[in-house]
Amino acid sequence: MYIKSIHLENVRSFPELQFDFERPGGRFAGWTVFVGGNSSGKSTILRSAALALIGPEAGGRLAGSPTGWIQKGQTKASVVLKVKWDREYDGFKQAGKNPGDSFEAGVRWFLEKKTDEIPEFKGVDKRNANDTRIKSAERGPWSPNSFGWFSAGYGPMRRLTGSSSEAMRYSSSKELESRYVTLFREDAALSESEEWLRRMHARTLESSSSEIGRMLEGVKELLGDGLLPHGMKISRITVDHVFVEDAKEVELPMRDISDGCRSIYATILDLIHGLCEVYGANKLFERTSEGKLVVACPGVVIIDEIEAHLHPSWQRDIPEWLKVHFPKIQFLVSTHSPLIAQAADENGLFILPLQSDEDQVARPATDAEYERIRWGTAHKTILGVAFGLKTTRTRWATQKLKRWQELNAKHHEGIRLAASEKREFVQLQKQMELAFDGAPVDAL
Amino acid sequence: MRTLPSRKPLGEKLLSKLAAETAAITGSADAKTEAATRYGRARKAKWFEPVVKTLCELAGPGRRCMFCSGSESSDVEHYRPKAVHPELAMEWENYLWSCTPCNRGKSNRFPPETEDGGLLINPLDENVWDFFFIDDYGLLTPRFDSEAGVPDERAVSTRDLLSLNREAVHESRLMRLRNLRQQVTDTFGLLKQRKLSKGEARERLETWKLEPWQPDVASYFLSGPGKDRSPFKEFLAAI
Repeated sequence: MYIKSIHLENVRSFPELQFDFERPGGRFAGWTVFVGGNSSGKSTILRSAALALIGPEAGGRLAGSPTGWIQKGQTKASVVLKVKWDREYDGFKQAGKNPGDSFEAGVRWFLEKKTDEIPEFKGVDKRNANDTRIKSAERGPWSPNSFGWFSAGYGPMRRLTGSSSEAMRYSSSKELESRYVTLFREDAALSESEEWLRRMHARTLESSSSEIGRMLEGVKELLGDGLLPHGMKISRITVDHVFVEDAKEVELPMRDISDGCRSIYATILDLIHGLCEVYGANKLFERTSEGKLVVACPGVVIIDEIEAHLHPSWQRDIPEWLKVHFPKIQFLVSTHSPLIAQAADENGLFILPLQSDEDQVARPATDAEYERIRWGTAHKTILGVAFGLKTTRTRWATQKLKRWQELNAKHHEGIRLAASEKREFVQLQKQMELAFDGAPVDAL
Repeated sequence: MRTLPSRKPLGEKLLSKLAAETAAITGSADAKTEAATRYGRARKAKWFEPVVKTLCELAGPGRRCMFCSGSESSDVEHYRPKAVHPELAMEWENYLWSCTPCNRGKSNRFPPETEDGGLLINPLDENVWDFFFIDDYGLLTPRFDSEAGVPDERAVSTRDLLSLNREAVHESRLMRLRNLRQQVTDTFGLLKQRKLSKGEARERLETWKLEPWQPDVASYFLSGPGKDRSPFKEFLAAI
């Protein structure tokens, strides 16, 4: 399944918001990015989408208290997704008429009485012309027992270890919300997937089925295909550890590698784990005509601040890696990194203004803005419309430039500089060459 | 900022239409809301198009922002914000042409009426080179007020409020400056070697003046006080 569009009403800082995610040619897979300052509502959009994908029951357990979702002064809020489903991969539970190409899945918060403090959290009621309830969402993505409907969500804290016991309880459960814990809870870890690999390995030892063995080889091949720097790859899976080896053949247990590598491994392993649970080990991998092993299952993957822990070169490369190795996944990510934003696919860049920018509304980037960003440098992107920085220099350097202007203005007017000013002026003049890549005359 | 042609008068019919709108605004109980509605409606209306067209003509090739001369697309700007001065929302003399980043920097602030600081310089109705010069690094620099012993207050406030040296604009300005200096030096060289006639050099000069890329640079160094700087001075003297 894919999210065709999202519609928010009175959710947190958004009175109304409508984003359509369809790309030219009717595609949905690929990289869709939300950019905007802190507290511009990026996480709200991602979490709203997650709640509507898993429904009020699982969502209620995941999000905890339903307070705080309704915009101040309002009594109700809603998020409604148009979900496009895939006849090959997604199945409905129970008999009933299946919807056409897409259907709506929505959740809402409402106060029964204006004086109530804690809102109710329910699904959005959809009825057909005969006033019969349409239960597509309940029978499909919201049902823990229906087939397919893969989706997962990750928050900025993606770790292998160190989770509190309560958060653990969610992530190891088989319920829908287990694939979304880190998106809602900072203390959750993704330890389950490493454990899963070890468990699968143990299973190969006691069973003659080659299916799991092939799947594990697939996981190793996928993660070794240029994902981590320095030729890092999974070298061995044992009952106790998953070992990672670099080009110098130094071998470490996965939980001891660097934060960045771990967070990437944890996320991608969790993704494979989830897809395997949903579609089965057999359907997981596919080889492209060029012989590349990819995970060819569809679904929605939400990642909040994907750049956490990642070196810029990795921020530049990871979107491409994910798109190549998960070619049918619709990635919805938020970011503060121009390098991540530049990887956005067509109709995949959404700009959220700061709340202080009252005259601005959340909107997709225009075609011209998008082209400029995808062809541009990180420097230009950071100064452009998506991030809107006025300068990338430090305040210190900016102050120095202003001081230079002041002294130069005096000099320009033919006013004698005092001895101390003159020293400062001469020194700053030299430093201007550093600031602006060369002397004005040398530049010729 | 750059030197712009002086504000031309609009036609009688257009002026009386604007005056009628202004009368409706000032006659309204809630002038600010009325101003916002009426201006919003006018901006989309056919009758207002000549106003925009005239502003674009004043802005010159590329319709660059009258404040920063950068390449972001621009729109009609109220020199005195309509939220503070609703009576000037439909006043021709209050209109400028500005890009979104400059407009946002200015917003509804109009110092010192809405906050402390010096007034904003009006690039269309004032001589901008009385307040600024462009230095060798392409920085638009407030001139020093020798009487006050500090840089010109209004120029400083204008520069800072609109971020006229914000990186995107400044880098473009510096590149244009380096480029223009190179073109002038090369052309001057050809002229000295008699590979180019004075007439041809003058033609080139006219093209540079009409180039829409950071026109503030050409305005300052080819037509403004920057004519005194080398190599522009020598080149202009030779032709």
